[in-house]
Amino acid sequence: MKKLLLTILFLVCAVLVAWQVNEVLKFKHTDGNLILEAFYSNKKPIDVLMLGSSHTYDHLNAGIMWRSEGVSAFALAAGSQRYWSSYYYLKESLKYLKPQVLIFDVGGGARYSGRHSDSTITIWSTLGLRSYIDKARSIALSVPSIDRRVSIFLGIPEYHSRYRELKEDDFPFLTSKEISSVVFGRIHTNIYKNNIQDMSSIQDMKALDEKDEEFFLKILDLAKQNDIKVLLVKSPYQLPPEHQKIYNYIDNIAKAHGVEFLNFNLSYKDVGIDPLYDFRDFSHFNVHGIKKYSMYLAKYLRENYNVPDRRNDPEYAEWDKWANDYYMLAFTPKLNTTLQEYLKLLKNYSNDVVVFTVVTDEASRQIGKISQEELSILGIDADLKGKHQYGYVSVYDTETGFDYEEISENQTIIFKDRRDKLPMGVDVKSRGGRDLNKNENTISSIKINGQEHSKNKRGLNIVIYDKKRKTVIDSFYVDTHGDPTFTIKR
Amino acid sequence: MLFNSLTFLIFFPIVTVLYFVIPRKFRYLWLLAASYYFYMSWNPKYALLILTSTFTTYLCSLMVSKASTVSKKKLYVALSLLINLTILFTFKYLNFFTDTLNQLFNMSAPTFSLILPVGISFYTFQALGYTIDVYRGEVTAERNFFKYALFVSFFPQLVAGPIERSKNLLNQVRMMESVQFNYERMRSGLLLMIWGLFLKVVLAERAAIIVNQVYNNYENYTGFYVIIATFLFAIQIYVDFSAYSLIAIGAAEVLGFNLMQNFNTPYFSRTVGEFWRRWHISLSTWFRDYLYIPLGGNRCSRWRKHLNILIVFVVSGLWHGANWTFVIWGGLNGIYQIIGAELKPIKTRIVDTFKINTESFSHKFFQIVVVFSLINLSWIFFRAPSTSVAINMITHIFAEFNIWIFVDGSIYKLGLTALELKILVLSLTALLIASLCQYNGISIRAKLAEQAIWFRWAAYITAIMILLIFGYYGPTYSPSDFIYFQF
Repeated sequence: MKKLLLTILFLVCAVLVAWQVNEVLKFKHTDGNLILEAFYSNKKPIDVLMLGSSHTYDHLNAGIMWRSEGVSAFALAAGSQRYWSSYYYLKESLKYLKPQVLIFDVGGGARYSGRHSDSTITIWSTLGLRSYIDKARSIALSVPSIDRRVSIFLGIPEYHSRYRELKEDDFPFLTSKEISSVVFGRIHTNIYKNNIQDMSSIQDMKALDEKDEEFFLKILDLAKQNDIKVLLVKSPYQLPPEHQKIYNYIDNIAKAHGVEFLNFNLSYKDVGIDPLYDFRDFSHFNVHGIKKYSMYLAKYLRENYNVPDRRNDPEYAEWDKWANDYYMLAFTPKLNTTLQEYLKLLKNYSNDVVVFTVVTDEASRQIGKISQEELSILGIDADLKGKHQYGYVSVYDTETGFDYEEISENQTIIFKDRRDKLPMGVDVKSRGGRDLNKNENTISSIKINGQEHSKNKRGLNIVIYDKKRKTVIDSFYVDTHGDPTFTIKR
Repeated sequence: MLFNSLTFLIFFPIVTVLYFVIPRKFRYLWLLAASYYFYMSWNPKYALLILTSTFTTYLCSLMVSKASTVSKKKLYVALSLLINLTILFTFKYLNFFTDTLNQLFNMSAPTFSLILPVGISFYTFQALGYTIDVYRGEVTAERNFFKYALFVSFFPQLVAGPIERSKNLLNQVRMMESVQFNYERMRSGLLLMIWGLFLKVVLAERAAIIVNQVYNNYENYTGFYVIIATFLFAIQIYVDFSAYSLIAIGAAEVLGFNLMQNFNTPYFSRTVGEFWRRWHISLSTWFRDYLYIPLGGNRCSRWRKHLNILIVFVVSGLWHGANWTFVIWGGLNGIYQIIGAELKPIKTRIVDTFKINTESFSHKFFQIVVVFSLINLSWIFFRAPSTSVAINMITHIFAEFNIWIFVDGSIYKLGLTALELKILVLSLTALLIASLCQYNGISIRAKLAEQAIWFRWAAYITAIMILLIFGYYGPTYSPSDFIYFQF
């Protein structure tokens, strides 16, 4: 008996050590297990749960839905996810929350039609599940090989060789910043000229695969049992007619179950989607498409499903920050707004940045219309009013508080002192209109790691360097001499 | 089902737990069923072959035991040999001989597309050894067919040995009902399995990457590349094969069976003869007992003895594979021993003349290095796909003295990164330490058992984690079979 207890104790110790090793080695996929980790760490009520594949987690951005309508939504989805995996996600999620509405993107039934998922997709959809029984079921439905099922279930055979690529990020537990980047932070900016054909003439139906239909109905039943309203959606993509026939079939089932189905392949124009501008590939939105689609659905949910606006709820203060982070990262480079609006966004931008401001020629005439408090967001504390054609340099680190400021009537300002306090190579100089050396070619300059970023236009030339991302996230100028609207120009 | 597969990770605990839980009188049936399942996981059709071998040797051995005259006994033994060696010949050698004859006589006799059943040489020799043992009266014929079938198909050693003797394993099968679960024995067996798995998945699989890179692209490599690859192949084949034996012995130990030792630090041998007494002991002794001694063994003229050695090693080479490379490999090992025996008086004279202390470390070390080098030379034939490639590689060794590859980073271009090479070197160091302990009669398992519980547990868990993290397994890799499966 003693030996049996010792054996059990030994096994417990071995499992605990293996558990920790597993935590370090495991994949950190943002569209799979990290989403589940973020979900498990969330303590706030979620009104809208969103299931599906990349068309859910990539297209429905919870940050934008929050920012635009105050909808608390969570995309619990993984790339190329099959219906059965979505079902087990729903089953798992109901142990932790009771959403008011379930949005389910039904693309999986047409795009993957009952096929086994490959191992990577299965890992995305199962690795982070806490319920071992449901995890085993989901894996068994996804992968035919028994050896592979065991391997994926255990996890470590799949990723133990990651010891070669471990980084610091693999060791700590998930931080709130990481959660925000998982839940709110997918940014795809490239533009693909898509071609979505008109499918409205296709009235035929094609049945779902038997296994897909079984789990599709299970999802509807489970939602019904838990008194959750279901909104079926299909975000637009370049689809073949065969897919549309399956969506017609799904529409039929939806009607029979009294469930709404919004097939945006037929009505993407209502959302304002422009196939030539809003996609990053034939099937996925870029940030512009994501924004339109997310805002549309958030509004639709508010108007048709009575989803509350929770923006005044202090419990969600963190979401405000994350959503603004996302918005800032995703849209700032394209946002031609006023300096004042921009400064509001910058203030809410949680990443640590270094702001460089230099004056080219002249910046003083209109600057008094901007409050000193607003300018201090850029690190500008000096009073520039009346400093006609003065040179000016400001370098401000929002994290450390490092602040360098110099103003000069007729001498070139070169930022030299304490440059070693900054994490990158910096060469900054400014020449005002009265500068004695102004006939030289370069009037003002902001070089970061040897690369010039200053627009070198009249007024304030501003460059924002993100220390976490180790990159310049924005460079623009505002003509504070001649433009009373202070429009940002790039 | 590979020992380093996840399926075995499930299979073995289930087999073990049920083995000790079910009524003892059914144990042999349970193990027999498990063994056939294990074997059929490669190819269910293979079961017919092993069943045929089992049935014929069972029947012939019963007939031998009942036969009234020696000539009748010999007849049944011959019948058993004929049937089983014919099966072995058909599946393993027919195409080789047909090809050889076609080349020699410019013929075009057809060859057949036959898949070599895993482990056929192992279980055939085990079953034939039993028939001969019954003929010699060293063991009584087993009447219970299922118990005998278990002796032939016992899963831990079925596909790659050790080739057990009926005196050892069959008698244990007969006594298995009395075996009780033993905690210490289980722990000891599991430790052996962990060590075997370490050798296979951490060391052998890593070494194999460099070996395969050089041997599969031999025309691109010269000098130290070939030396490194050949040295690593010597390590790979040793740890790969001995790993299988260790896992087999460990698994059998957990179930309460004692299998024979198959390797005893062969690379510390001071003569080629000693090497063969330490390498694949179950096969070497099989050939000694069932071929070398019947041929006359040592009790004959000097040249007849040399011929016997040569025959045994050529046949041993053929046992390993139907290819002239294996014949040359076997023959080379035989010739080493014949030359060694012929040079012995000269060696003795040199030792006497120069008053060499043969028990000094330096002399022993010199002998070990010489034997290891000779064995390495023969491994080139074993590993190379053809004799011409083997000869080519030997000439390539002397083509360039490229010692700079150790310092200019070229060594990292053989398939292993600097990190992987470090792990390989650390694993080799662990093997060296374990081998030195074994050579000096120190049992690491016994020493470990004497330590405080926290230390033991830390050691066990560390070993398991090393396997889990640094082992070559899982879908990221396509692990090679244990090399000896093909024999």
